Amino acid sequence: MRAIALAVFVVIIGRLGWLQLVRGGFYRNLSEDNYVQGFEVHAPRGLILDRNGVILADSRAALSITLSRMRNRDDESLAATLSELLALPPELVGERLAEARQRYYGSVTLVEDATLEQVSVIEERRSSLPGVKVEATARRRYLTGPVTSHALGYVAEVSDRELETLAQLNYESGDVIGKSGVEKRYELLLRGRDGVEYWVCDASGIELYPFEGGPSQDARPGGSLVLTLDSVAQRTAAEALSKFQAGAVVALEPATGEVLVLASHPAPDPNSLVDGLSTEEWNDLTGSQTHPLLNRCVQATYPPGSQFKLVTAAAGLETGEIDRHQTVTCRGAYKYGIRTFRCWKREGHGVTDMLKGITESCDVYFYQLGARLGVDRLMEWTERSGLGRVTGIDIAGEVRGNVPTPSWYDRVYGKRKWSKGVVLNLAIGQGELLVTPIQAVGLVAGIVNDGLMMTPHLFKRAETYSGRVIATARPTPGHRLPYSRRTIAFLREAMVNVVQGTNGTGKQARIRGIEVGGKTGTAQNPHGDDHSWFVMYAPARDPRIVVAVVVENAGSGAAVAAPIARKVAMAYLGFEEPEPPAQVIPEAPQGPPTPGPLMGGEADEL
Amino acid sequence: MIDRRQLRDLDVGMLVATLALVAFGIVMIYSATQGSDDPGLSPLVKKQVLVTGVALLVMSAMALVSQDTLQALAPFAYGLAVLLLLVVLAVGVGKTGEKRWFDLGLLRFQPSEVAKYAVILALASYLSRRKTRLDRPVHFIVPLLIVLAPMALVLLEPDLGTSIMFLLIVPPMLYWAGAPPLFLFLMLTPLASMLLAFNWIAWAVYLAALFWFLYVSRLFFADKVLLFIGNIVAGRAGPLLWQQLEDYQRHRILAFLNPEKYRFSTGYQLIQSKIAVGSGSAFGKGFLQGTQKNFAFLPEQHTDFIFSVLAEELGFLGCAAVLSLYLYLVFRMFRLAGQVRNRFASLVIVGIASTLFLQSAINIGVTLGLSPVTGMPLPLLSYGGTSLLVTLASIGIVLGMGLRRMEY
Repeated sequence: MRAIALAVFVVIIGRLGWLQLVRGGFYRNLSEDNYVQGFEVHAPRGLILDRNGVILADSRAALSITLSRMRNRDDESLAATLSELLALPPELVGERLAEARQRYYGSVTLVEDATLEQVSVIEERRSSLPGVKVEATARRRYLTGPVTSHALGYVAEVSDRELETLAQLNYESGDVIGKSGVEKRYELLLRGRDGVEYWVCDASGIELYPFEGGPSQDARPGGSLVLTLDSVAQRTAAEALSKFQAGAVVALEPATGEVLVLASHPAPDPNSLVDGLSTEEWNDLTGSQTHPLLNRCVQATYPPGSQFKLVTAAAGLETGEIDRHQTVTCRGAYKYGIRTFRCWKREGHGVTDMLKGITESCDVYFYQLGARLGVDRLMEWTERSGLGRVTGIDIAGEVRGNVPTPSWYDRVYGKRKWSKGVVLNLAIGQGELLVTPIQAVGLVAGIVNDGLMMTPHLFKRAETYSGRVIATARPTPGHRLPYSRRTIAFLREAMVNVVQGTNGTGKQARIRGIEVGGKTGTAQNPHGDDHSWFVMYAPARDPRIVVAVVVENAGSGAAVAAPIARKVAMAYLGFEEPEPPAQVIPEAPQGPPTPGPLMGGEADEL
Repeated sequence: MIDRRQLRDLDVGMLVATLALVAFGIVMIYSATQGSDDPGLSPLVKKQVLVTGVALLVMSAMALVSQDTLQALAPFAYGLAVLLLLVVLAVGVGKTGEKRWFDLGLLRFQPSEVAKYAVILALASYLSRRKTRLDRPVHFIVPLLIVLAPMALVLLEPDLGTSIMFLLIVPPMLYWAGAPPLFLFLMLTPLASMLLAFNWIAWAVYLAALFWFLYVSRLFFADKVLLFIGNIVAGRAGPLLWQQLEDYQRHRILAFLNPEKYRFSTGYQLIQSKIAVGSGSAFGKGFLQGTQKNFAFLPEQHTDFIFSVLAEELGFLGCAAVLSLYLYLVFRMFRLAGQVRNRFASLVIVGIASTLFLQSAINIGVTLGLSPVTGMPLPLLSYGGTSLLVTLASIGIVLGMGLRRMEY
């Protein structure tokens, strides 16, 4: 046993002797005069493509000036030299040098995306600038700019907080990370893996030769992300919206839930966010009245307006409270207790059944239906219709909207401190009921997909950088609408009538050659002009696209939103805009908005 | 208790070597935790000094406990250790999800450190019984079971390095208890089988050779069957266990086998440690002068890589001195094991000596690139309360047995 212990001892002493006595000089050189430095080899981020293979985001080459730690370096005089050469504030250079001193390996970026002039100034004096280097890096480039801003999101330098929470994932300060949109959601796919190379460097940080036995690793570029977006329709939507102050367009393929368009306006240029904004620019962006960073498709809520009449009608049919042929006589107003609720059409719609009620968007018909249903049942059916919950789309920040159930009113106003009359407003989609554009489009997509709402998603396919498919999205069933076949058939008939019928309120959405369906809406806005809504699907028989459009402060109804929805659907389906426009429709009686001297929540037209 | 005559039997050499190593440790921890630009005592050093004081008291106390008491307590110590290992699996804390420690506020207590010694006591107690026989491989089953139970629990924590230590204690103790070396060698064959099983052809050839060997050998038939089945089971379990390992454990082993391929994290430690050791040359760079250490190239310098700091600053000479102290300490213990009359005490001493020696050798082997990174501290030198406490306590036990060397 002593022999074994002695043998082990001899092995250790032998190894020590080898390392320290025989190779001692070599290692001493390495440790004192030379450094083994690890250099990160940055992996380029993966591509983002649309459903047809159009590249939406790629990487471009950029040069940056970096600092790495160096022993025996006069950091103070180096800071002075650098700040003079590069025209940078000396404090900034000092700060970065201090950071570099803390780094084990790799380097700290001093100037990102340096100009050619800056690069040549450094290269000329390289031997007198120890540890200062020009490195080639890949920078994110968004080819479609603001058009796909909210869907794609953007990347920027990883924050201290992210460094902390993502400690497991080997991020290092200076790395780039997805901050929003699919860039954030599919970060792990897109990111790739940085490599590392070990070099023996001399005292001024110039690489002499690769370190023998250094555990280097090749960089692996990030995978490609193929989205469900259609860049043509997306651009159509973004350009149409850009003529207004703010708004959103979302389009889905109803059978799969694939998101064809996800446009929110106004949108920041993601390329400027990648370059990093000055504090001033950032404050401008976040402080803006129009909230450009808000993704209105999933984060903004609006009263649904008259498009909600579809839900009220379904609730009426499903509860058996009414059948589609029962009629109501609209004389332009409806009395409820001591209050009068106006129809948008002053002169009234006359005898109105359910089909006419939806087609011509008669408010009085739905006031009555709402009163018969009551708040409890109407809101119960609203929830069962999938509103008030997130759709599950694969980008962060989706909000739930609001379904004001009786218990919600109790909580907000106190028990019994609110009038059951709210149901009249709710029945026509006004009041405290709030939906997001993605919910609005999801509801119609559910109706035209036989009641099954597919979970909306932007992810279509993931591929390695060499093009091998790693993962493909499978359509995921989401909420199922508890509507009978007859109800669904009726709702579709009514929506087609809205666009194709002689008195329909959505005639502006007609597309020559095919039948389409739709529904108008006006979201009352207590802070300014009303918001204009339109949801549509096309073709009516076998819907391939469902679009929801909301344009803020654009006034009422179909005039603004419907043509946008039509353009987007045509762009996706490949219809050329005919000259002159198809079927010039005699302007529907879009009377001026009713001045509302009435109490309660009276509805505007539609 | 101890009387005055017995005090003459105190192993002064052992005691001095121990104290010298502990002192060395504190000095090196001082150096390792010293920032290059801010002088002054780091709180870690103060804490280590405090723990050393307590540990020396514990060592003295352990020397007073008689070997009969220890033997009587052995089964309870073993039971308690297994219980603690079970509890730590349930409520323990760890840096990255492993469950190794109890957090006692001031101190982090690691039950596996104590369990090692409980296993030594239990094994010594079993092997010193008169009816225990070791003349056939079948007889090894009980001692192996005694070790395997706590070892499996430690493996679950997961703590690969410490669990391997459990296994390594067995052969020297069995040898000391009188088991024939051939059987000990046969006992190790399942390990070889486990390693070879990663290559089908090698494994088949190996099994055939083993079969032939067993066929011609003059062992009992039951022993032959047991050995062959043991080899097959170990071989099949090897790849399975490999799958069960945590990523970082696999990384450590692969990085050791093939440092070129493995990234920064693990390979970097090995490279930097080797540079630190090698650059120390014959006489070192001088105390507090290690550049590898000062520029923070060395990871974990005050704990697992304390030996690299020593090697860099004090050179081959310093390393040889420290290594000789370890070797002297262990040889002193082996000598004592041959002198004590009590069989139980003799076995305990061998167990403790082997633990001390193997753990030191493995830790130093890591810093020299001879062994995969295990995450084990260097006994008596590394920073860390539990390790120092139990190591000194175990040396206290050995010193106490030395005082009673004449007792049966």
